[in-house]
Amino acid sequence: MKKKKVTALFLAVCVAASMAGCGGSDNSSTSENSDGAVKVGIIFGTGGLGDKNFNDMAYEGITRAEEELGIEFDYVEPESVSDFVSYGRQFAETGEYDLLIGVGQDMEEAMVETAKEFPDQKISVIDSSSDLEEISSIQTEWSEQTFLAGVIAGLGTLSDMKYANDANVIGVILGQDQPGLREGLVGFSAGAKYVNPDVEVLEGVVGDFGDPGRAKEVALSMYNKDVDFIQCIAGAGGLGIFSAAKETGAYAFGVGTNQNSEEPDYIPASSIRDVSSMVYNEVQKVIDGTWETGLHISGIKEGAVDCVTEGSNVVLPDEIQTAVDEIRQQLKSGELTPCSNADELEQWTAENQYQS
Amino acid sequence: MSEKKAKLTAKIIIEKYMSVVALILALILGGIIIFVCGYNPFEAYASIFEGAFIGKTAICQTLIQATPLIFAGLAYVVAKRVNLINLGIEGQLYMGALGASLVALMPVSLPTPVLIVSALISAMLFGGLYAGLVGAMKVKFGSNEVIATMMLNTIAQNFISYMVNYPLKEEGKTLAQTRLFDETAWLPKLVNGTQLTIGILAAAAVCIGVKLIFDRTRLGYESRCVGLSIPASETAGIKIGKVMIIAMLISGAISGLLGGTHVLGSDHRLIADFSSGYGFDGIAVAALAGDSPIAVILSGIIFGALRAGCMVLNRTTGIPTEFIDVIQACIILLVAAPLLVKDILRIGKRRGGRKA
Repeated sequence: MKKKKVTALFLAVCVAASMAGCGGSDNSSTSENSDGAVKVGIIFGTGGLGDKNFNDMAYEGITRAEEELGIEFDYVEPESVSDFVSYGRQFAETGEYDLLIGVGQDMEEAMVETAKEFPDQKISVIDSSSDLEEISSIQTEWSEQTFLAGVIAGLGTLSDMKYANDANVIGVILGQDQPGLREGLVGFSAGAKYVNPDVEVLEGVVGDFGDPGRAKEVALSMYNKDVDFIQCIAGAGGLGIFSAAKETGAYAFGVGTNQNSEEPDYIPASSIRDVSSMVYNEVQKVIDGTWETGLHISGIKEGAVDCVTEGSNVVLPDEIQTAVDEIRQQLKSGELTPCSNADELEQWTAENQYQS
Repeated sequence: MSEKKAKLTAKIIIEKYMSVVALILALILGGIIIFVCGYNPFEAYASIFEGAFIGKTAICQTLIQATPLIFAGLAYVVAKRVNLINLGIEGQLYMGALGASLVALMPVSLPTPVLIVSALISAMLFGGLYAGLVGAMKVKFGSNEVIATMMLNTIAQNFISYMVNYPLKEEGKTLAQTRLFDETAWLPKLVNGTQLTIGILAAAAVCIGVKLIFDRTRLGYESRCVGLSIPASETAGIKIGKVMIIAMLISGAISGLLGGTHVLGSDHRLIADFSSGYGFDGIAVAALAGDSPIAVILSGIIFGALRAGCMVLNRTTGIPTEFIDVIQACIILLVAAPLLVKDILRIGKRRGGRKA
């Protein structure tokens, strides 16, 4: 009797499982949206909305596109990285979406898998840095992000700003020793040397993006070596660097978002990366018909990176402010291309010098 | 004997009935919440149903989501059988995932069946021993298993995070994850073009296996006795400590299988924080199943369907998938308060006091 029950159950499971195999056919309609508006699907990272960071910035970009470009969008907030592929497939399967955006580098693999299955679906991944033929990878230029902060530091360390000292030394602190971050370091150095060829740039590595305590120690030891300006590229470690700047009486630059208000008296500027523009521009490209796969690195020209002083109480001397504005124009016009390779920095400095 | 059996069956039927009532009440509560959020609950449930059952991908998605839930629910049921509350499924599944990954990452080439079976055995060992530790602590030192398992969750999660950030990290990448496993270590897919693997069959098979152990073996009998009354079991000469430890070992091994099948089937690599709380979802699955191993299959599929449907709901309406957690919580509350449900239904004739 019992044996029969078990067998029956087992059979039921098998039937259920095989049903999955021959289930209903999919009638994926490929019809465009009825009113002709461009429709975008966006998959956020597992951090979800409300992270006051990456995902929220991307959301800002897509809502701006909704208002200004008249697009429609649907979004999802996966709970687990394992659901990325499923969501990608669900979006692609409907055939309704002109563009699918994955927010975050960890989305790359899932989006490539989706793209292989649905070759007609346009897919962009924000913050991916791989050059792939299936998807469009959106990355920003590190060297352009930190260049202007380098200019401020290079001129500032020579100036009579409140916490500037006589030594001609500035520094950069990295969260981890990664190729991308190194480009940020080189960009900062290039910016400083562009206006101050003799400046010495020290570098420090925390070894962790989430350790403000250790970052603070690295920063303190750097400030003790007469450094007066530090560019942090250290994630949450930045908070430790800011507190070291406050204790010592020195300057530090924020990174990523505008961090000037963290310590407005000690942070003259932040080297920002505008994720919302990365999203917005990608939607714009679809509307213009210029969207294509591959690696797309945007910089200061596209407004994806910049150096902002809003929210800081530090008053930059007029000549520094003028220089920053002029050099920003040079970068935007393409007249000047920052150096992003440490080996070429010396030669680059020899060839490029700022004439005020 | 037969009278006793009839009574037992009646009781089981009532408990089943209670589960169904709890589910329906929870869905109604969920509907009210959707309504309060400003959406039409009928449309929402229709869309959930469509996303869970209409079409091949929908059914597959339901089963994909159900797989970890069935394992987790079963792990909880096994420990509950001896009156232990295993809140450490989350930690055990991480350890199991590590166990499977270590085998899958071995630089030797083995045929797929051998590799997968040994990886899953390793997963069971890791998960089982991690849970067995709690069992031993409970028996030897009388430590509270609820607290011990909870604490060990954090340790396991951080340990895995360390492993994928340092020793097992994919070289040259910034993400906290191991390299992709060789395809020989991937669980075979049941349906092409989806992520549905034989993991669901394994889950169902393990449920049936546990049912057989419960019903057919001495261990099953002893565990039931220990669960019902410790003094009586002691009198009957049952080694309570041994039974408890074995139950924890099995419970942990099942959790380990969850982690193992997940990394081999879905992600194909070990990723930090990959679980979206599957271990805790298991409690709701077990509650709805009335602690019966076979009912866990059905209960897991119901929750899987809700999750799969909610993924579609998330896309079309913006209702977050966490909404499912609300329904889960309602079910636990209602199942944990059977008297309340009875009062609601004005049955109240029977007062089965044992279940708390």
